[in-house]
Amino acid sequence: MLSEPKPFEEAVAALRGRRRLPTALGHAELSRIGPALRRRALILARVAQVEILDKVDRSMQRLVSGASTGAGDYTNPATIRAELKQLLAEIDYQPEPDRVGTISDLRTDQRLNLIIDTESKLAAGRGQYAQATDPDSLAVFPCQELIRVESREVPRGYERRKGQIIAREPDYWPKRWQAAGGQMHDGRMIARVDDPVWAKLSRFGLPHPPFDFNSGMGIQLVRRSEAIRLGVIQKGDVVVASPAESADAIASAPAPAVGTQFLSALEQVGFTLREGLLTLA
Amino acid sequence: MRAAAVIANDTASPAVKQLRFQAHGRRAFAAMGASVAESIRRHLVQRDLIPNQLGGRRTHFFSSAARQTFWVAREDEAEVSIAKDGIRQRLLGGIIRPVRKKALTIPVSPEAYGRRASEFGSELRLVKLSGGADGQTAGLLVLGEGPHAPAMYVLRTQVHQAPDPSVLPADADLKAAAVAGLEELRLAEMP
Repeated sequence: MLSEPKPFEEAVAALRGRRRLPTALGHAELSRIGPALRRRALILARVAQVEILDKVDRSMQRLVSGASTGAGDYTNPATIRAELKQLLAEIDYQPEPDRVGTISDLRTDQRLNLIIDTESKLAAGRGQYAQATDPDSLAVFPCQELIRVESREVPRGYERRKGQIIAREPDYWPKRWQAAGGQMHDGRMIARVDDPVWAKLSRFGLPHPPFDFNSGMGIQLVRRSEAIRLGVIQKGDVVVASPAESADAIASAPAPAVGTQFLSALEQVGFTLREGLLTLA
Repeated sequence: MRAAAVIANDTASPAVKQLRFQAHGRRAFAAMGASVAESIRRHLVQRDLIPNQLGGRRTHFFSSAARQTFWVAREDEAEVSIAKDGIRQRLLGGIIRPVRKKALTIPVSPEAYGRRASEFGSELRLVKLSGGADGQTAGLLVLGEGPHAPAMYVLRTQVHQAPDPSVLPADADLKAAAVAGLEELRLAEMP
């Protein structure tokens, strides 16, 4: 039966209380910041305007919670993209002159889509991970499988040449899976939910999707009986999530906005806050 | 608007009730909730493989709905929700009217699919129409100048969306998923 719906609390919790850190640094420099710190802050490469970060953060919370005032007034990636474009026009945002029209230029659909897609998928992925690591869920679904959940015009391992999609490395994901320590089971990429392969597979160092920018890969849960049949686990095996990754730990994570600890952790990986901007120390 | 479903003692099938003699409380409902939610996620991922009617850029609405599907279990019930704006409207159908604007913008071109009219800036031009056959078409938004400028959106004062029960798996499949959750739990608890 249908009832009054609710927001996806574990996903919304992943966004709540994040510190917004403006920065002029690019993606390559920021990739030195580890997953634990990234989870507690909103940092977008070459976005130094706090009002843009504020807008992105609030928009993501709306999108992930699924909130709306009803039919005809939906929140979706297109409405958020349009709102962000309006904000950029209002504050007269200008990219660096040599980056006009590139992925660094916030006025492009490509960049805004990337931000909206990545941020919303990280929050949902975090929420799904909290659900999957519930002890009672782990009893039923101790394993998960890497699968394609969204089609891509040109998936990784393929390229567009003269209007044709050409396979360059069609087994890109199985190779990446195995390079991360994953094993194939009946030709499928399946591992225990608590297997380190998930975080190793991820460009973001996180044990849940998305595993890369613009990636159409995701996971599906694998039942205990199937996991035993495929030899991924043995009968009687118990899969347990680490306490730091439990749903309760995620929900009760301290608000990071006020933390000298947070700043000193950033300093340890070579960053500092200078006049409100995240820079290299 | 989101959609949600509840599995409770009074809605459980005989098969579920039978299995619940062996598993109780939150643990049993968590097993059922997790299993039903996963069944819905898989169904939505499959739905996402169907290209949109206009053949434009993919919004991956159903895949996004799959990511936003979750369960909550308590001692006496489990609830499965899809925190995805618009999913309930697709499931149940109904009339959609504009909320903040005077008309709804319905994309009729692949270029317009997944884009707001405002994103075209000043490139769109309004062509007023006098109501159309049902009296609810206010006009067109066309791209550029001239008599052959392609229509991007139809402006409608309201639209009626037909219900689409295939948004969710069939009830029988959801019940089977709940039973399967309990069976897997029983397997986990075997010595």
